[in-house]
Amino acid sequence: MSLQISIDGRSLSAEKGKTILQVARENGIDIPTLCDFPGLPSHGSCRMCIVEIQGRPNTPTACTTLVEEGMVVQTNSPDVQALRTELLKLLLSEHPSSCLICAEKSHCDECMVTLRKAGVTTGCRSCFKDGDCQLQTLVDRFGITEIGYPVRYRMLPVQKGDPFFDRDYNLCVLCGRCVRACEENHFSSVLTLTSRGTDALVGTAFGQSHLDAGCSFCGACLEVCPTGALSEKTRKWDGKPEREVSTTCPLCSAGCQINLLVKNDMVIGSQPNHAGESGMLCVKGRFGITELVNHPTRLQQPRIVNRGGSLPVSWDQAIETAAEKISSCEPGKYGMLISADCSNETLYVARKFLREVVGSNHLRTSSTALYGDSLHAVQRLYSFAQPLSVLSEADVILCLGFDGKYAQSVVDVELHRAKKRGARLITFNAVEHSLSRFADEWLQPEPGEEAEVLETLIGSTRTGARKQQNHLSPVAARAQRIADLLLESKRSVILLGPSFLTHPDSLFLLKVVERLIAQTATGLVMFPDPVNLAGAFQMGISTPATMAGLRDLSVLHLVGEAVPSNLPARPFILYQNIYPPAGDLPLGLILPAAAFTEEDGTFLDHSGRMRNIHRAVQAPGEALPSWRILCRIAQQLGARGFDYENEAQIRAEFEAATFPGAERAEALSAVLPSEPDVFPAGQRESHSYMGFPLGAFVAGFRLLSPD
Amino acid sequence: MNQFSSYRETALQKWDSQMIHSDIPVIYLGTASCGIAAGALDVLETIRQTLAELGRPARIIQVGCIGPCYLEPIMDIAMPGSPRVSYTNVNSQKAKKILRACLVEGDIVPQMAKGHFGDESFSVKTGIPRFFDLPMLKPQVRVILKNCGFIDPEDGDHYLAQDGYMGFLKVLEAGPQYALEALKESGLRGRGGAGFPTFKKWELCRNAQGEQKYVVCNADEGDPGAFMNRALIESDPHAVLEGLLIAGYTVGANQGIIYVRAEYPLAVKRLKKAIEQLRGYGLLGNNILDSGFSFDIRIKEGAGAFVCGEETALIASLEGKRGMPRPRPPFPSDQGFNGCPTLINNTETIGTIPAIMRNGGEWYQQFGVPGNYGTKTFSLVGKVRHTGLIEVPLGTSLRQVVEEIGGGTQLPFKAVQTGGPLGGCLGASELDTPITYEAMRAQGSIMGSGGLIVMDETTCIVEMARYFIGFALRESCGNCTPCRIGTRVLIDRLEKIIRGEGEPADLDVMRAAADTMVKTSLCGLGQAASNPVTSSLKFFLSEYEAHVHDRYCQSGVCTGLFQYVILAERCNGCGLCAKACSSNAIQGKLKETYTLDVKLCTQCHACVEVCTKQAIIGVPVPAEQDHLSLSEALQ
Repeated sequence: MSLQISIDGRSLSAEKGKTILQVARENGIDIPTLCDFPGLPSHGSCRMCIVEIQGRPNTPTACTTLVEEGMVVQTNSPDVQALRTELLKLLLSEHPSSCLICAEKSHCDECMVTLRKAGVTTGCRSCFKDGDCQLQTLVDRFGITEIGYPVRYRMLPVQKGDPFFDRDYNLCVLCGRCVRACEENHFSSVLTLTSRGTDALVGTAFGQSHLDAGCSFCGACLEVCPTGALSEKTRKWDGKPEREVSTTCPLCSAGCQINLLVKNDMVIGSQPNHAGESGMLCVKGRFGITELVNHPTRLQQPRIVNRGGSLPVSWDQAIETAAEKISSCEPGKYGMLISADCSNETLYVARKFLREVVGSNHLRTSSTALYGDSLHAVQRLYSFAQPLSVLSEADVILCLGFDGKYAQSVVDVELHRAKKRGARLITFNAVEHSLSRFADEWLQPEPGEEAEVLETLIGSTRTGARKQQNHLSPVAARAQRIADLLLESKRSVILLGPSFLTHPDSLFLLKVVERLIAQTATGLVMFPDPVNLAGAFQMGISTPATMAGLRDLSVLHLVGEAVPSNLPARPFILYQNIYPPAGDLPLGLILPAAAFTEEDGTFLDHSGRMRNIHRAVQAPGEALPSWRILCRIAQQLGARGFDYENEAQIRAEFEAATFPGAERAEALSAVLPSEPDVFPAGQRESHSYMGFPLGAFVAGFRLLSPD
Repeated sequence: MNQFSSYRETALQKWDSQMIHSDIPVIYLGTASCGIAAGALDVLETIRQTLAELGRPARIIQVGCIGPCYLEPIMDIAMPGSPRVSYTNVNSQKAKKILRACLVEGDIVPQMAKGHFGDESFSVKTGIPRFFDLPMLKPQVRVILKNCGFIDPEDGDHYLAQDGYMGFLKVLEAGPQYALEALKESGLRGRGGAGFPTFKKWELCRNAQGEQKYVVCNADEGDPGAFMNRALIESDPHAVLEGLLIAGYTVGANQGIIYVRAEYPLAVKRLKKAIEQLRGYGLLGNNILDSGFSFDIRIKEGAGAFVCGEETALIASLEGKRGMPRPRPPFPSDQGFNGCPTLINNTETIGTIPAIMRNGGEWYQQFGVPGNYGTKTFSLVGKVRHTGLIEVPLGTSLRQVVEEIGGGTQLPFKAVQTGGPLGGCLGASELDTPITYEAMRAQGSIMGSGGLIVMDETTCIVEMARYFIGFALRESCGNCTPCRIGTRVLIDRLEKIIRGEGEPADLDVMRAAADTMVKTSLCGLGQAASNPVTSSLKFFLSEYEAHVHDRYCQSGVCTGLFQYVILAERCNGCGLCAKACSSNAIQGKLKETYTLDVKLCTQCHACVEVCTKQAIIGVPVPAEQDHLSLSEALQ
């Protein structure tokens, strides 16, 4: 329904239910705001957007006042401007702002580029947000040169005890954006306004640390803060980024879209890409990336390791040595382990390298070893996998082994949204987890008895097998009730978390899940840990590595994999990764690879959808993308068809090719003897990249896990 | 219905046999919080003991607050066949004496009696005035407080006997439209202070779309020095419940909530008891009196935040959230508690409803003036002689309240703070202002919920403003900029002036901050918080200027902005001041003029308080010297 209103003398037609601020913005009328933020519910606390409305007393805020037929609004009268100036002055009287009104301001802007890394922020020059602060912008806009009101410094210590970001509430203007982002958009309620009057402040309940208060460190509060009150530890003094590069987060299979912030050819931060589906990130994508790709131990130069120690060599020498080793070894004695964290392009080149250059089939991945016997069950489940967006239409969601506390907190938010919308949420987990408090039902089997309980559940979905209610154990009764929900539901979804996929009983569990999907016609969303597991399957790399398989090798080629501990033999190792191997250097070659921020490429996400990664910066030192290292070795060995100039050419080639797919993989595994001793390096942590736990490179992650 | 009629019948009989025509003496004792604070519980114990000692039967009725706090504890005795006689400022000894006289000798004690509740002939006979002819009570009318001090608030039958719930029955019979009509005719306006027409609020809520509706009684009385709602609930809880029932029935709500301060334990206790009694009468629950109307009432205890008296903050608090106002519209009548249409009225408004429904809207118009019909209760406190809870028709002048009802002040009158901490401070020249919503607002004050704090010349206006702004500062929710920071700016400047460091520009800073607060604050608290400063700057500018320009506090309150001297012409040399002085600043011989050494004086006021001749006064500190000896001062 359309209304006629007048703003600043312009008659406008406005939609009913919109605020004056929204209508003004749609029509290009600028009203200054501070506590308003796109996507957050309006709050009306800063009072900057006050306007005059004919027939109404005082000055209501444009952000909270809905338009009404015939409303006459003045957004810019001298009175309103004067009041806004006073409000700003009041705000400045509680905000270290000496630089804003300093007489030397213009000289300082020219000459004193920085006085940074001050312990206490006393003015804009010593604030990390200088130049990017919305209070600063407003002060410039209103041309404030004096405050006029008695100033007050809150004398609060900067809170630095929590990982990832610091909180300096001396700079806080109490706009409440962070509180709303946390509460309304992330359903987290970690932050709230505490105390009253002059002592009012943003904080946690009972002044707990963010860790104790249940913060998932998604970083949403940092993104909305208009001042320097919240600061990312790693980015604090980097200033404004020069450019942003959109790419895909490679730290799990969810495929979240991120913007890498780049300055001086360095990734200085990562933020959610709001053009992406969820517009959110979890702690891994938000805070894990900068430290991970900029770590000082990143490999920069090829090295050769022999009994005497390690020696830097040129790429030419390194490639020569590698080619020599590969050509001198029998095809059956060469094996490659490749990480499912690698891009499709690298995986494709690796497979081609093995088939066409070495003539071997010995291409394994330790990531798949994680799933042991159930690998093929995981692979089959991919045919059911759906994108995260199905949650938004689901009416019953059964979460199996899912915990969105830190990793995948994005999914947690979607679940909260679904619940708010009216969907029934059932969680199945042996231990306390992020859903245990808000799910409608928490089916809690004893650890190790998951399979049994799930069996009961599946039993209950077969109508023929139903038992009388009074003969049921409590757990079975609940299982039956849940089964009823699933059967009655029109759009049910099963959410399969990483811990279920790697459960000791996963082979059985996944079979049960498969049957459950078949019987209740429910959808499936699953989250394997390796980012490109779907890609690995697609490329036909679906055989788990085993210790026995490694026993007879004389050359072991590791692409993005850590050196397996307790290797049965001592082969020559071609170690191709972004970090040096943990522990003693293995005999062989160390080849520095590029991280995902330094190459283009594609991933297949958890639902099999193609996601792009884009190069944001140069690789450190002489590091090269993995596929290029493989190509150079292949070329050295005289192979043809490895002269790709860029990732796009590889992609064009594999998109045209057809893959044997699942059947082929199964055929392969049938040929190989079934080996029970599953590869031990697969003790993969849920926060890891290229075979290394994130905690090894990102300090904050060490605080997130209880041990 | 029949069942209820029988309850009423029983109650009426009980009232008649036990109270009106009692064959044993009836002893009334005011045991509301005000009485208890004055020592009523000790008196109660004494009464019980004495009765046991004397072996005489008597009926003790614990009533609520009858009004004059300065007379508490008040013990009334009605001998069979004789009217009820009031004995005031009773303590254990006095009570014993009176009881002996009355019960043993069967007589009244005229020399100790303050008033009686009989007719004129009894006055002629005994020389005791009628209680309601006392100067404090004569100008008052009793509509809301009708039952207060007369019935046992914990005995529902007493309320029934006073036509209790007849207003509700009438509305039940005549329909919601009757209630709205009666309200409209009565012209009742919100007694919380804003003065919004009550019928309009009810009509909005009644017409609001929504299956579930709520009615809320706002008893979160947080003003310092205000106790109207507490006294009403403690003395007549059923009036509030009946008002809620009528409100619920009229707007179509089936749930009533009373948001009462947890600091009012007695009120909470009596409300709970009354709710149970109401259930017992069949006036609460499903299908009340077969009318198809279902209603229940629950109590929510507030956790002591002043701002939760603001209706949207109250709703947030009810919902379990931080007590924080939100912008209106939407008004609670459209989206209130849990997003449902909610009617929120002040306790006093709700307490007035039963009388209006019983007697009709036109009846209510006999009180007050057009546009401001009805009566309003005030808690009259401060330096007046007669403090207490009063009820006057709107339109009564402040002068009548302060001088007649309050009996004036001992020392010369200076100011009266009206409308609580968010109200204005009016001086002697404004005393003729009639108490109406509009007139109060025109003076830069508000009606408020009804606190009246009277100050005499020993109150420093700057210090008074600092006190009230300090209150607003602590109680602001801290959410919106002008209120959170504006109050801090005001208190900062006021403290600066009190310290004697004030500059003329500080007054402008305060005016600017106050103006911004009024015009841009989100809720009523922020919009009104600066009233004490703006009104006192308007009416007592000279006092501010004396503080700023002359560094002089004429009230002798702001330490350092005056010095004490002993006036030789007043001093009689009694030496009390020298004894009271803990810093040996006062020296002298008996029967000679004493001298005060300002260098030793700590300005503790102890000497001023003991001096019977008012010989010790504060004078300005001479400009050049910080301290001056008496001889120098006299030169």
